[in-house]
Amino acid sequence: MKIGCRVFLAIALACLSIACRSNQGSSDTGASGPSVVRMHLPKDPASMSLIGKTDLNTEIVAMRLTDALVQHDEKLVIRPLLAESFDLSVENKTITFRLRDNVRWHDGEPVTADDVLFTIAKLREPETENRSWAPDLSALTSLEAPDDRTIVATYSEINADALEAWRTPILPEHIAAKDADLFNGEFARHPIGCGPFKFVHYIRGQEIVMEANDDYWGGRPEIDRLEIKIFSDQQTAYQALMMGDLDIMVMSSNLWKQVDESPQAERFVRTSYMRYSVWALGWNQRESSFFSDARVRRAMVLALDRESFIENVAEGMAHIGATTFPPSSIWAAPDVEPYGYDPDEARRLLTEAGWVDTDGDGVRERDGRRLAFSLLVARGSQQLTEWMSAWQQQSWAAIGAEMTIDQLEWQTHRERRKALDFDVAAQAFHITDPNMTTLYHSDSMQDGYNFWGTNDPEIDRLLEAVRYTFDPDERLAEMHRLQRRLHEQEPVTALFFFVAPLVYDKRLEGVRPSPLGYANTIHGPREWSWAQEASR
Amino acid sequence: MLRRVATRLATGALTLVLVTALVFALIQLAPGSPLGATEDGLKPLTADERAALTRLWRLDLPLHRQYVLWLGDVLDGDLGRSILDRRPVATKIAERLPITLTLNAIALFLIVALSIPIGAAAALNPGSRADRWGGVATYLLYAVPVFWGALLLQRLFSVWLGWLPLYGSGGVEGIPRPSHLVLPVVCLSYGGLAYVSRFVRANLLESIPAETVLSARARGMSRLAILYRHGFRLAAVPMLTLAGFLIPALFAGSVIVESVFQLPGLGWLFLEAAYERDFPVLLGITLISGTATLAGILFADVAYALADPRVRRA
Repeated sequence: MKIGCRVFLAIALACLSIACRSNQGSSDTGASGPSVVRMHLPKDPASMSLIGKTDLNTEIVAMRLTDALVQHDEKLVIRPLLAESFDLSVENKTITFRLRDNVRWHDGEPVTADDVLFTIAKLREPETENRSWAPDLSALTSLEAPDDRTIVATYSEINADALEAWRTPILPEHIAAKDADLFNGEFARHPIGCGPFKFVHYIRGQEIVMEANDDYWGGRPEIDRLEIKIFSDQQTAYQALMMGDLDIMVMSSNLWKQVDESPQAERFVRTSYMRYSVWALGWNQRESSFFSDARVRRAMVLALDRESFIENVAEGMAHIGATTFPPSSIWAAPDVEPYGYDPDEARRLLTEAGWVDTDGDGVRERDGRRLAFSLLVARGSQQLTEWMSAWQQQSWAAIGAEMTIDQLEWQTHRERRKALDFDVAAQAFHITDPNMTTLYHSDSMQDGYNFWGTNDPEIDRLLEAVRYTFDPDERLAEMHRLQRRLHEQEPVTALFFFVAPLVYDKRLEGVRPSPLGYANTIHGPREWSWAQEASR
Repeated sequence: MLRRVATRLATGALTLVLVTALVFALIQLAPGSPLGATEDGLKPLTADERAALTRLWRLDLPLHRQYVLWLGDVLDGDLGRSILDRRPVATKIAERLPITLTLNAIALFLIVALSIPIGAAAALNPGSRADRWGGVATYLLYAVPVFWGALLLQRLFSVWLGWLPLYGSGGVEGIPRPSHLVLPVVCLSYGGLAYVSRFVRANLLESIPAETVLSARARGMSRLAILYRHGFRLAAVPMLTLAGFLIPALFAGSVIVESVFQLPGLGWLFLEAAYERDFPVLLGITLISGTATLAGILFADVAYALADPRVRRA
């Protein structure tokens, strides 16, 4: 044993001494150094091409490096950004953008209308596989630049959400056009944009480093450097936050609580914001399904005591939804209240719909068929998902419905939904605009996300009204009408809108969380700064 | 000897073909498709886009045709492109291979270098207190799951003591800084270390009968000399085999260790590709790790023959 011990100790000591030495080299720069903010990203962006294969992480990165013509503000209203103005003409089916004067790329070249034309053309190439904005441009028939600062987009059919697609990040034609392959070219290795931050370097799986753009048209960002740190593991990210390697991150609610109990609690601001991300139950409404009758769907919702679940299990980190339109959003209908907890009404509705327990086994039947169904749910990392399923199971058992939980891996979950092989399916939706055609329109059963088979002429009509009404007040009125109808029909139950627990260094100023996140609006890192004497 | 190696190489190549065919079939038969992964949470693909992508990734062809085409490309030196970001699979693997190789090479070296003295020390005095406690310690170590062990080590050395970095490669591309390798390597090797040292102990005890020890002691040899003379040559044979089999186990450990410590190696890439059904990448990694495993076994085989004259002659 002695020999072994000695060898082991020697190696261990050698390793430690190397470790300690190199650790000192990379320690904090101190108060006199540049001001750096380190934010968390859960995954590498799909690519650094800014428009190729976009996902949420790509968008977060792209929005720092380059600007779009328009962008969401924190209430999800579209605001001009690179365009100083836009004009949507319903009768001509056109949108005319006027570019800001004197905006320059990071290499000093001016931003022109041709760059916009190039970007949109590239975006619409199938090879770019853009899933964020290209689909909304399918009705675009022509795009012209009458002069260097004007862009006219003509549509074959224009709808009220047409501006959404113009949140596309704009690429410099003089650089990106040189690459035959957008994903593997020079541009994707060293992206150049016109945004508030300039690209410095990217180490896959580690970090994306950017520095302030001194010549940004909207003014130089307060901070000198933005380091986007990639942590796929939340625990590791949390430890990094504790050690001061990370300044801001969204975390799970258990970790969020841990922050409060840690000795460093006073270093952080612990806050939360409602995401427009809804945990929803989609009821299979096809003929012969248990849930083809709206009364049964409503009964199921009435059996759930959502308030007590939020209070006792979700620790207050959720809001109850009435429909998939987020509560407290600018679209929400004030008169549409979520269904409360009323098990007696639930039982009455089930009986009225013909579901009665005749054999006394605690489960209702109709025409010899037991009210026994399964809940399709994706296996997630969140324990809450399991708690929700168990809670639903109990609540429904209390009104005479037997539910089994079908917990599947995410891809399998999707395939089962697509194959319409489910009774009720639980999943999260991310809502970014009030156009819910793909969720509910009968035409979306084939090509969209209407897996539940919602087929209601009134809902179809209202969805179209929302889509093609351009007057903001009238449009809002149509949205409210749609919500009333959705609430009555309950094709999808918006169980909860979850809250994102956000933690950041309390010396960091200018953080403005919105339902889209803390970095996905026209605000974000460009407005952040360190409180006096806190630069690092 | 040469003929032996040649036969081994031939069966190895065949095994690789079979393994990749199996992996290919498993990926394609598993529910979910790479097209599904591309539309997660975003706007659904239109029928045209779906058709174009299906053609691009050859998903419209029957399974065996897809596989044969893939195999043909591989023989031409083309591993295809990642579905996730359209970058060449070979490039993606080449970027990440050094990290995984470094981790595994150090871990393998540590396991072999440390478990032999530890096992030998235990075998010197079987049944002694040191041997018994050593046994308990190695069994405990063997039982600690890597993800939990990693978390404990992170807490102790990074968060409390602040001696070692918590994650990442230290701001460099490719092979991480040495300090960033310590904890991952410890995590990757402690299980193997525990296992192999027990193995060494058992083998040494088995290969030297107690009478041999007694008579050698009577001739005035030290215990260490006895082990060295009589034990190691015999024990080396099964050890070599074991070392060959350690390679796949280490690779499996890499998958966990790399994602906990945020080291962008092959293991992490594999995990990512599995989530996204990025089958060209999955197949590429299978090919690489399969080749490494077979090479390990081949190496063990040759070494086996060199160490044991009976095998050589057979």
